[in-house]
Amino acid sequence: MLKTAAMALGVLTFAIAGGGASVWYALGQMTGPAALRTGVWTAYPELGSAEADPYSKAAIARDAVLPLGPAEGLAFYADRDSTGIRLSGRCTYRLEGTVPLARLWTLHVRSADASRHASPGLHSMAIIHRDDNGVEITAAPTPMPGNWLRTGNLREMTLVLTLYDTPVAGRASRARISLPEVTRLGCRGQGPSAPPADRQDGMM
Amino acid sequence: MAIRTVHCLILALLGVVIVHVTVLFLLPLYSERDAWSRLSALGAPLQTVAIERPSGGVAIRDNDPLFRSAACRFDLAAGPVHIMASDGAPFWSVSVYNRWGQNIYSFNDRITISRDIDLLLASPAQMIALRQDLPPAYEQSILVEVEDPLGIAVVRGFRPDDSYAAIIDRFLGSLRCTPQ
Repeated sequence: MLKTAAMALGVLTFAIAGGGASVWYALGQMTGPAALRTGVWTAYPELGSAEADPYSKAAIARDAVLPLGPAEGLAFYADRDSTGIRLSGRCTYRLEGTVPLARLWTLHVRSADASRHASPGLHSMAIIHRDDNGVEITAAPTPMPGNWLRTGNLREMTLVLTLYDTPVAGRASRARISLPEVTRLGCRGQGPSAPPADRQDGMM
Repeated sequence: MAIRTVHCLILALLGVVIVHVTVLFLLPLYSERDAWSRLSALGAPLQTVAIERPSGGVAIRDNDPLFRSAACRFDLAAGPVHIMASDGAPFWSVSVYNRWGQNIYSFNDRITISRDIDLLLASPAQMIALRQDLPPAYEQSILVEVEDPLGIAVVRGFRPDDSYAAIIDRFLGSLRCTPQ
């Protein structure tokens, strides 16, 4: 009798703890089926719409997010470089490529848990554009020539590229968007650059 | 005995699934950390509150640091709500959210000729009455039909650098949410 009760209690405890923990874990992942992935960047166009999946709905309720509407813009997040290594604010990265058509875009660095910003960031009206309309930005903890994005020595960082008033935020024209590549040039304490291939790039 | 253990294991896993689904669907209904609850702590309904706090904190997660925003919570049960602000920011956008933080309607400064924000929120029933006899004061307003009576209106203004601080403060300070 006592054994049955203990077992029932065990099953119940396991179910409640496991169920709660699994929801918490799933919400932390934030990669729903509706995520829009381009290279290292991910956006969540359905986040905050009535059609969003239950995980997105629970996530915005838990974290007090008010996602941008389709007429406002769309935010792209990157937390890994092009080789799949976690971005760190102590490293130097080169962002190179084109940004989709938008009236305005901003780029900022925040901590992985979104609690801290490294700096206000850069925006399209105050950076040097290349002749082919592409951009080249260096994200580093210390000042760099050209377009410099301060990474503020955050241990783990996320790059946030937000496009404002852009057709990409609508349902159409999502197929062929291209966003800047994020390449690691080196990390602090490891010399100017870690892999030899990057060192050559850095010298040139 | 072994069969009993297997039964318990299956029961426990089934329990995990049931609790997972229940928590998932109840979380938005009972969350005390969602945008609505956080804004409730900052001001009364229809009162304009700044989302970026002077202390440096932010009431809403994931805001663009190059933007400043203000919000007001509204309740359409007492009648339509008029939202107004005068132009100022080099780029601005407005979103209307329901009580659960879902985006119902959004627009940016390109939609209006005057570049002023002039928005009238009404429930479907109030909208029918408004369409039949629109007061002249709202002839230029954007009419938005909102199903849920409770919601949040957010105005975001682009602040390219500190030299725009006064302009953006004036722009967000001009935001008024008034019951009709």
